[in-house]
Formats: sequence, structure tokens, C-alpha cells
Amino acid sequence: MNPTLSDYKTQELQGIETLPMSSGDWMIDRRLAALQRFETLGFPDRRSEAWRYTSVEALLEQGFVAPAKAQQRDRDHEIQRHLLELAAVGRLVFIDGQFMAELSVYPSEGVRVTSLRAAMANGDRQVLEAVGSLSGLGDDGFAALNLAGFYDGAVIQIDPDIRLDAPMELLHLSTAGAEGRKLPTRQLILMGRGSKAELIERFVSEDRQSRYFNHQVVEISLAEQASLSHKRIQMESRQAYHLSDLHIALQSKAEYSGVMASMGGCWSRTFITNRFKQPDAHCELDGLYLVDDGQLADFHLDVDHQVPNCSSGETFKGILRGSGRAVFDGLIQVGKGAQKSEAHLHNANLMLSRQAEVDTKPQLMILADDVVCSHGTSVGQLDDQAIFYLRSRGLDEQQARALLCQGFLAEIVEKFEHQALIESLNNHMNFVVSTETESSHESVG
Amino acid sequence: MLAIKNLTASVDGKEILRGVDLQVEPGEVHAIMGPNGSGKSTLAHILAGRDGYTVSSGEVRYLGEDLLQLEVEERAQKGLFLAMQYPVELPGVNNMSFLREAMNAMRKARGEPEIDTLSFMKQVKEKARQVKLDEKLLKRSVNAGFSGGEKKRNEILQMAMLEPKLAILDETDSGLDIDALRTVADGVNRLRSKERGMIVVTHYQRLLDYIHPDKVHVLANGRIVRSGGKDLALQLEARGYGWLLEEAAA
Amino acid sequence: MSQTNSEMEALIAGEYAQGFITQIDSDTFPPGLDEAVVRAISEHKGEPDWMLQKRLEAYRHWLTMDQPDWAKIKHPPIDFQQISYYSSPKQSPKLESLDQVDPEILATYEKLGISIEEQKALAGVAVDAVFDSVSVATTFRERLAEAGVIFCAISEALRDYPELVRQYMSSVVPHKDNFFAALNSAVFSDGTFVYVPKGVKCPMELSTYFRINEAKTGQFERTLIVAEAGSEVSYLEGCTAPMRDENQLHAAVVELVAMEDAKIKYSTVQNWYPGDHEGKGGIYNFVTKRGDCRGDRSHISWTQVETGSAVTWKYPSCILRGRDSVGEFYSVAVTKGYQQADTGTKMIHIGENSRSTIVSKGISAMQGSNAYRGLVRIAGKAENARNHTRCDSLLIGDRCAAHTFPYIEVKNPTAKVEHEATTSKVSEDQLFYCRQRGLTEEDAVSMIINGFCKEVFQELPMEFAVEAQKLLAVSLEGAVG
Repeated sequence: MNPTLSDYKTQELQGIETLPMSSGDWMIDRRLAALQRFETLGFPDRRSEAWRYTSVEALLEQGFVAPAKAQQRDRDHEIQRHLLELAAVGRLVFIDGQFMAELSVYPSEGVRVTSLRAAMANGDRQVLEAVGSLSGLGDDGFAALNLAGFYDGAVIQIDPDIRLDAPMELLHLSTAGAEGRKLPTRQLILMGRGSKAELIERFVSEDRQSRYFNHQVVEISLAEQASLSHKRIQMESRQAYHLSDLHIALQSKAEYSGVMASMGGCWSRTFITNRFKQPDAHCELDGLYLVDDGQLADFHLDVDHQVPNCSSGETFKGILRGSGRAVFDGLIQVGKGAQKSEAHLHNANLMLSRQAEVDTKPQLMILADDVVCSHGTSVGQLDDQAIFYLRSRGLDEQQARALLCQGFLAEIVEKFEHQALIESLNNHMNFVVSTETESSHESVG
Repeated sequence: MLAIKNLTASVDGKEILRGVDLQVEPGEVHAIMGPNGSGKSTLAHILAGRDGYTVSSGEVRYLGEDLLQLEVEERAQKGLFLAMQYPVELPGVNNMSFLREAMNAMRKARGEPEIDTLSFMKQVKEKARQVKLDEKLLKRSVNAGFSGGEKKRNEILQMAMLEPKLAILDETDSGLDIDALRTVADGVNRLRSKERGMIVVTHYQRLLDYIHPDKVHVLANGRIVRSGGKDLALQLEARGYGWLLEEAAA
Repeated sequence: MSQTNSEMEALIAGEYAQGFITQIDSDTFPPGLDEAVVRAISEHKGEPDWMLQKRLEAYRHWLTMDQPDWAKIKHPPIDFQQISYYSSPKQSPKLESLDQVDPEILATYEKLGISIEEQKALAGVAVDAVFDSVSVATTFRERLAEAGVIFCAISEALRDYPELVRQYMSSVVPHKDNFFAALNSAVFSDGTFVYVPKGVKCPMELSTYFRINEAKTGQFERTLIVAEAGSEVSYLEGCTAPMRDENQLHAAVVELVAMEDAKIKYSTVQNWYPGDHEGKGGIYNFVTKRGDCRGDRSHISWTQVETGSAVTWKYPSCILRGRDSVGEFYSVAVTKGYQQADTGTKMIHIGENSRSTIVSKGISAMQGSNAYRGLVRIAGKAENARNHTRCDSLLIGDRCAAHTFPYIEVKNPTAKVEHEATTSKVSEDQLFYCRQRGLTEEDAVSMIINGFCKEVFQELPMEFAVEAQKLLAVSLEGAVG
């Protein structure tokens, strides 16, 4: 029996009591409002257009009702093996969704980092009020439940005109303590006018088999002329459930460029909304996904042009192996009066296995005429001629396939820029090994 | 037939032409040369009536009329033809029908009856042969999927069919190999006549090996900095534009 | 010849509708729908009992259904109890000559190049005894009969070939398929039945055009076309001339069945009344069209030019069951004024090597709203299936809307599916180029738009293509510039 909505509610009400309380009644009121919204909405099902191709049944069956327990001890030694050689100006470490202040370093000048837990304890109303300002109470049951029950996360504020020349890293590590639990957390990134930063988020698990539900709601607000390069890599345990909601808001001449990789987890969904608040802003969203046996990767994009003269570009590429499933839904909206909008979206899929399935749904909704918008999607296989060509140059078939798969994703992989990230991605993809196991039980192409 | 006086124009607030003077008489071929970004194409586009340019001062008289007051198609109907640097593709629009529509639009403006199918076909085939344009391309969509050379030949074909009074060729030589260049130049030379004025806009001297201009003008920084005969072009070939720019700046 | 005479008499009387039994000609049911109405329709038409049972089954199922709300269209709720489900063909007021016809309509006919005789027929003017279409239609009938092709009203077919109809009807669009299909299955008024026997290439284009007055078969039309193995047929539906119709709701069902090596080409020009300048009135067109490529190497091609109706909701689809079967969808949809269209196709690939092509051209002008909605599904067994989709929208004016909603579902790793879509206005470069060659802005726009639609027009039978081009020009008059 799946837990009922009231099981979740009971748990949340208990959870709210255990949270730091000095934040005052108004925060509790909002959590209760979100909980009420959760009760109204319930969990989405496939009758809802946004969840048409993604079943939440398996996730709900797991019964991730209770949140992960608070961490007490210093776990410095445990994060070491998850670190990459990044010339970063700062690192924020989250273990099981909890901000680890002792493990985190960040520049003091022009950057303010506040853990939400600390904000709650200190009653930092200004910070807490900003939470939810872009997401609202939640568009679906999951989002509402997150707002009702989130227990930590970080607020990163970058002062006007601060231009960081190296990335900040957010390392999200899940441990055995997360087993069977959910990790409802939130991040809030507020960039001041003319500021510039790069954020690298990585999601990793200590144990390759641990089973938990990581739910992140991320709100990103860029003031005039601010610029953010955002890289996100999800490499969680193969049993993990991962749900990320990203809400992006751009003021005039702001530039956001995000690149996402979804490789881990058995069920992974990333939902990104971008809102242009003022003209002349640019948003770039790119991503790759790689699914194998028992994995689902789902990307939903909603890029909304309601003001003139903004541009957006989206390119997502995915490879499907084994019984992997991928869902892509990319919506571009151009509202009345949003003239001179330019938007281009592309989704390409390589389907390498008989048990795999891909559902892709690009969408254009255009209400202005002076626009240039396009989308394209494709589903196909590796090119036989290319394989032949590589073999004629001395590569064996597996090497040839591996090379072509890498080549297919290369334009996205390159967008991760840092050598350490690119290597980490390539190692994780490990095409040679996989194509071997694949061709042992089937060969298509 | 064309008199440009102190023409000043800008795009998006940036001044491109800063007082251009030019006089073209029937029968004359003028070459306008200049480095990239000197305003050559801007001048050609303004003469044809392209949107997006702001003329802040000066005037252009064409056949006794204020050219800048005329709509794009009115200028065309009065015999002003622009062969474009990047001819536009019109998917689904048959090349031959397009040509005929254009011819008939001109004839209509002149109060002449529409051209009859037979003589149109005869003419178009003959002229396509002259500019070495594959006849198959006549049946395809206008410029769609044409190679660079084919597009330019198609421009010359249109020019030959429409028989303009003033033809402006905007970088018609760009991207052409030597054979195509010769064919295009032949097409242009064939159209030289006592009644027709021509402005050949080009970056390189090599086109002028085939089209011998009566006058050569150098446009730099939005002004004509030097005018002369054919030998000016040869000088430019030998010495580049640098010395002229320096002189102009001095 | 006796039949021809009666046909002609009926035409002259202006009350002709093929297949209707004479004594009910004057009948019109009061508005409302219940089982008794369904029974009465069937009884009036003298249908076999199994047909009545099918209608009742559909009606009962319809009662359990809700009107779909997912399409990108808005209209006031339809009160299904306010509709009369059976009425004799409308008696238009008889006019003496074309002089009495609204000059605006005549001007449109003129622009579309419609002959005087047809103009009279369309406008409801009493026609001369030597009305061309009639004799043409007769000649055609004879030639078809020689070839063994059945081409008649579906009510007639239910009488004359009941087993044939029973075998295929609802086999492609079951009554449970959707709300409007269920409604149609319960109350369909009439329509067309075509049967092309094995190996026969239908000697001519079949067209409702030759059944001009019969085309007023009302709001719940039912069409069934069966092409036996190795046969070929091309069917044209509709008419470029603006058709006025008092019935606001149209809910037609069209079923196509193509057996081995058979080929069906179905072309539609839809130009129903779109409503007035303020968006009042106009036809609501909710159509279910589906073709079943049942046999190997079968081929079904849909071509549509949709310029009319206030609301269009239609997705002519192909179920590609046979190996090497081919499905095609070519569409031009124009919405202007307050018109709304949500149209597209479904290509369901089941058979190996099945191929489909989708070309959709949407034009939105003024406050028009145009949505392409398409599904390409590659089933697990559809080895080497191919789909290519090209979907372009053209916007004219800043108050219109264009939407593109493709759904692509692939369960086979040998499939190749490609979808491309663009949305933009007529390019400034193209306009400038045409005008520089002497064309007026209006001519330039119309030329560019025709070019935009070319890929679809060239799929239409020749004379239809010319008409469609003119229709497009007339439709967009006043919307451009």
C-alpha cells in the first residue's frame, strides 16, 4: 500500500515542529499553506499533460515519507573522494541535503552564503521571504510538499558588480543516512546588477545502491546585466529518485546559461522554467542524458518570452541503452507583444536498444509575429557508414560505437568547460564497457 | 540620371555614410570600390530603398525625381535594378513565374500590356543560355538551393530580362570563381548601352579586368575619398587601400 | 435514364438529397437528442436493424463521455439538446437569376473562377434544365459502374450493399474513439460510400464536386472508402466556394481502408462559413478522419486545405499496419479574423518499414489562432520505420497566434524520426527582394505565401491546386499589409 496523502501530511506536520522555530509564525503559516496546496493538488498522474510520459507510481510506492535525519558529526574524510580538481573560489557541501558549514568555504567579499536552517534559527525573515518568490506555493504536489517540508538549503547572494573569475561548487552528497528517506531542500541564488558567477552543482551518492528521494527546488534571479553560468551534473546512485525544479528569472540584459547532465538515478526529472522579466536578456539551456537498464531521465523546459527582444537557445541530447527511458518536453512561449523574440530548441536522441523508449515533445506557442522560432527533434541510431569508416581505420566495432556515442554528446559535454568535469562525465559514460554488455545480448544499429 | 548630393545616413544610430556625392549619366559605368565596412553596400541598399537606414541629410535625384520619396517597387518600376550580394531564396516560388511577374509588374507600371507567354519563354531561354544558367534552375524555386555562382547568374539573368535604366551591382563578384566571374562580367557588358547607367560595387579590382568602368570611386569611412579613371583601380590593386585612408585622414 | 431524370427533377426542385426517402423530405425533428431520436433517424432511413443497434450503442456510450478540452480552441459550450438531428435538406429561397445574389458572394465566385452554372447551383438559383454537372455526373456513374467501383450515398449503400458496409464501418474509427465520433456514429445523417474492387484503378477522381447539391448532407456526415488489394482511388471532398450552412456544428467521420498494395488519396478543401467580422457565428468543425493501411505496401495520403470554419478540430491520421505501408499528411490551414484551428495528424507505425511524411503549413492572420498537433508513434515491432515531419507557421500581424505541439513516441531502436518546425513572419529580406524586382508589397506577400504552401498544393489534383491557390489569395485578402 502506498502511503496516503494524509500520511504525508502527518509527517510534514511533525517535521515542521522539529524545525528551528525562531523564524516566527509567518514561516509556519506558509508551510501550512503549501501543505494545504499539496492536499488540494495531490501527486500528479499521467492524466496531467506535464506528466503524460512520466509515471510517479514507482516513486510513490517507495514511500519516501520521512525526511533524512540531521547530520551531527564532521564528515570531512567522507567527502574527499568525491572532490574534483576544480580551481574553484568556493565550495558549499551538502550532506543528505544539509548544509555543512565546517566543510564549506566561499569568498567573503561580495558573496553571502546563508544556510536556510541557520536562517530559520536566526529568524532571518528577509532571506526566508525570498524563498518561494519565484516558485510560488508549487505547481504540483511535489513542489508544494517541498515548500511545506524543506529542512535546509542555501541562499547565495552575489553583490552588484562582483565578478567571480572562478566557479563556486555545490557538492550534494547522499549517504547511507538518506536510505529510504526524502531530501527536500531548496537553493536560492540572487545575483546583483552586473555581477558574474559560475556555479557547478554535482549530485553524488556515497553508495551506488542507496535508495532515496532527492528533491531540489532551485530559484535563480539575475538582476540587470548579471550573468550566470550554471553547470549541473546528476550522478546519483542507480536506485535514487531525483527531482529538480529550477525557476529562473532574468532582468534586462541578464544572461543565464545552464548545462545539465542526467546520468544517475533510476528516476530523474528536471523541470526548468525561465521567465524573461525585462527585454534584452538571453537564456541558454543545454543538457545531456544517458539512460541504461531501469533508468528514466526526464527533462521539461518552459521558456517563456513575455517581453520583447530576448533570445533563448536549447539543445538537449540523449543516449538510450538497455531498458532506459527518456522523456523530453520543451516548450517555448512567446507572449503578445514580445516582438523580436528569438528562440531555437533542439532535441536529439540516439536509441541503442530494443527495450529502450523515448518520448519527445517540443512545443511552440507563439502570440507575436515579429519572431524567429524553431524547434527540431530527432530519434535515430548510430550511422552504419560511420561505424564502417572507423572500422576501416582499424577500430573494432565497440570502439567505433563508443567513439560515435561520445562524438554525439561532445557538443554538450564541451559546455561543461572544466577538464575535471569533462573527464568525470566521460568516465561515468564509459561507453566501451556498456556497448560490450549490450552487444552480448542484442545488437541493433 | 542619378545625382547624389551630400548623402548622410546611419544604421541604429551609427553613421555609415558621411556626405557622399556621386553623379551618374546614361551610358556610364561607375565602379565604387573600398575596404570592408566603408559603406558601399549601405549606399547600394539606400538607393534601392531598403528599410532600416536613416538618411539624415542630402538628397538623391533619379531621372528628375526625389528617389528617396519613392517606394521600393516604384524605384524598380522606374528602372532601378539592384543585383544583390546575397540574393534571397524564395522557397516554393517558381523562378520563371517570378521573373514573369516581375516583368509584367514593370510593364504594367509603364502602361504596357503583359508579355505573351511565347516571347517570354523565348527570351528567358536565350538569356539563360547567355549567362550560362542551367535551364533546370528556371523551373526551381527562386535561388533556393542554388550555389553561390548560380545565384549570381540568376541575378544577371533577371537584370537582362528587366532591362533596367540604372543597374547597381552590389559585390556581384564576391564568392565567384574565375569562370563564373567572366560569365557574369560578359552578362553585364552585354547590357552596356548609351541609355543605361551602371554602378558596380566591388571590393576587388579583378572584376574590373572584365568590366571596364568609365569612372572609379573609392569609398572610405562613408565618403568618396578619391575619384579617377580605370588606372585608379590598378593603383589600388598594387598599393591596397591603406595609403588612401591615410591621405584622407591627413 | 429514369434515374437520371428523377435526379434532374430533384435538382431543379432544389430538394434533392441522394438516398433520402421521399416521404420524409418535409420532416424536421424538433431539437433534442435521446434514444427515440436515434431510433427515428434509423427508421426514417429504412436501415437494417444491426445499423440501429450500432447507433444505439454509440449513443449510449456518448452519454458517458465528456467533450474533449485539450485542444487550443475556445468556443461557447455546445448545447446538444438545441440541435435538430434530422432535417430535410434546407430549402434555400429560390432566386430567379444571379442578379439577385449578394454581389459580394458573386465577386468571390468570380475570383475563384467558378463557372456561371456552378455559381447558380451554389447560390441557389434555379438552374437550367441543361445543367452540365448532371450529365457529367451521369456519364461518370456509367464509367464507374463499368469498372465495378461503387460510389454512392452511404444510406443508399446501407440499402444496396449492407454486408459490405457492415464489414468496414466503424472498423477504423470505433464509436468509442472520441466524443464527436460517438455522436456521429449515433446520429450520422448521410455521406459517401466508395468501394474499389481488387486491382481496379478508379478511372477518375471521385469528387463530391459532382454531387454539389448532395454535398449538403448536413452536419453529421459519414464517409467510408474501401480500396481492395491493388486498387487505387483519389477522392476529393469539399469545394473552394464558400458554403453557407445554417448548422453550426459539424461532426463528420471519415474512414479509409487500404488493403495490400492499395492506394487512397483523399483531398479536402474546406471553406465553410468562418463567422462574421466580429467572430460571431461560423461553423464548428469537429472531424474524425482516419485511414487504416491494413495491407502490406498500402498507401494513404491526406491532403487538406483548410480555410473556412470558425473552429476546426481535425487530425486525419494513418494507422500503418501493413509492412512497407506509407502514410502522408499534407496540410495548409489558414486562420484569420477570429478563426481557430487545431489540426494535425497521427501516424501510428506498427508495420515493418512503414514510412510517413508530414508537411504542415499554418498561416495565422489578424486574430486567427492556428495550432498544429501531431503524434508520431513507432511501436516496438515497427522495424525500420521512418517519419519525417516539417511543420512551418507563418504569422501575419501581431494579434494572431501559432502553436506547434508534436508528440513523438519511439519504442523501436531501428526507427528514424525527424521533426522540424519553424515559426516566423514573412521575411523582410524576401519582401525587399520581390519589391526590388517591381512587385507591390501585396503581390510579393501573396507570392511568398503561395511559395510557402507549394509543397502541399502540389499534392492536390491539378485543377484543385489552381483553385486552392486562388482560394488562399481570396482568404488572405485584407489580412495582408
